Amino acid sequence: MDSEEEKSFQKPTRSSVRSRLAEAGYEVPDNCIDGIIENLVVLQKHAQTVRRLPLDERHELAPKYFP
Amino acid sequence: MTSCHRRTAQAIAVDVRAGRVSALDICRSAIAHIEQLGSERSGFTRIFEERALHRAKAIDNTVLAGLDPGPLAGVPFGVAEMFDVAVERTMAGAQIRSGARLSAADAKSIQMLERAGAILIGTQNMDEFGYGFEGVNALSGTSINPHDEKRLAGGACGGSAVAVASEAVPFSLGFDANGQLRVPAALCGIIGFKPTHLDFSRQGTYPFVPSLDDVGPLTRDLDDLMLVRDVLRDFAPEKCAIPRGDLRFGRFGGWFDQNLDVEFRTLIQNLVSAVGGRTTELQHAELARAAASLITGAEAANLHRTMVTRTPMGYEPATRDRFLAALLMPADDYLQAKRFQYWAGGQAEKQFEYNDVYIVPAVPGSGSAPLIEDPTIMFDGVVRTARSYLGTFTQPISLIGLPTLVVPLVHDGALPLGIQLVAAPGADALLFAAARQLFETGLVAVPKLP
Repeated sequence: MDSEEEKSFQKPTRSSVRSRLAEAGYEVPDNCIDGIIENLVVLQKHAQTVRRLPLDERHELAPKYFP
Repeated sequence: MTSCHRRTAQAIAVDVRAGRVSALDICRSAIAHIEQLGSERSGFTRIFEERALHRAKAIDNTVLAGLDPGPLAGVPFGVAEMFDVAVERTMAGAQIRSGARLSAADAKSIQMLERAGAILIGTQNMDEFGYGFEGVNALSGTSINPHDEKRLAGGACGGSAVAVASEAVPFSLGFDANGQLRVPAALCGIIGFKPTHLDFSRQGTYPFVPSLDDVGPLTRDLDDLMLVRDVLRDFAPEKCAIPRGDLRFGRFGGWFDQNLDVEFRTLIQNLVSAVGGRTTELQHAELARAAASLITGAEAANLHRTMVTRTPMGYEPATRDRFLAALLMPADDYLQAKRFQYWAGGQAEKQFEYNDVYIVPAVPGSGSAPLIEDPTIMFDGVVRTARSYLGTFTQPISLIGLPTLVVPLVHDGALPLGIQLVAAPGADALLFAAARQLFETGLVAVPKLP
């Protein structure tokens, strides 16, 4: 399997974050939005990094999760 | 103030068991020391004086009756605010928990230590809910590095490291999902131990990242650490044998080297050469760090979803924004990170066919504590927040559940530099054998306070 292509992620905007929060059913004060965007960008970069490795579909989930 | 508590745990216990010093005097001495230092310099946020003195009297009465109170008799210790203490609130470093229910019982690890004669003195400062590597808390203040008051102690368990480094107590109990105890141990020049994942009971600790959380001790003395570990494992037999011949040391270079200052890298290389080790690479270390960050965000945010969406302003802004952002993370990213975690664990096990113990820097850049006024470090050539980046080199190791011991390097500089000794899962005993060798050859040592 080939490595997933590095695609550029669209940067979240104030409007897109507000929509995503609303879709998920969360009401968040407006002054949190910039901080959320900043952290979403960091998470996007991490997601992009992890996607660089092509994992076979038979690579399972980690077997242990303790909720 | 006396200094009878400013010794190793073993020295204290030997004297208490022999009746040469009372547990009451030890406890009073430790509490007086903590009060004299104040919260930010002692690391303590709350002192349970009545409980501790009551317990100390019971230890002394046991000795007077000719009985043995246990291998940690009269040894004072503290715990990060993540641990349940009976009839107290588990604050987890968070103002929002000031109305939380009182705990019904002590955490299992506290119970085990007290059954062995140790005495809980109080709780210690940490980043809110454990989410940060600085040791800075809006409610309890900043944990101050005992080696330089202008510098951070590191976090999240900054208070636990400061308490040990400042000699307020011989050992503390902290927690570690991503480096929460290893980072401050390194920056404060003490020994910190994260066991093989789940080797110690987490019962009665406030969760942060359920699939990564562990409990671990911090000490100034290797024998103290081994004794505390024995108690926390209920003296269970080791899961691996120590090799008869020389231990095989290796060093993870590659991605780790790319973000290390030349001076720190040279010190580590010299140490590895001195023990006959070779440099190799931890495959996909950068991905492991990224996966750890995704798993941390997703699991921690999920635990806080109800509270952070109902009362977001009750959180420190940095924690709140991290949680809220992670709530919007696609499930696919979390699941991909989990699949990577499992895969990487299998790959890492192969590395231990060639070496028993790997040496890895604990903290990137210069390896030393950032200034409180300028809490940043350089990473990938960019100035980054210490809050997020101090744990960059600890995250990949804990993602795959490897046991890790942080020890301070011997060097000419004024600030402590820590290295991680890393072994295969279940091979925790090898870490102590490796550390013993490094201490005996003078390559590592706990630095004296200035």
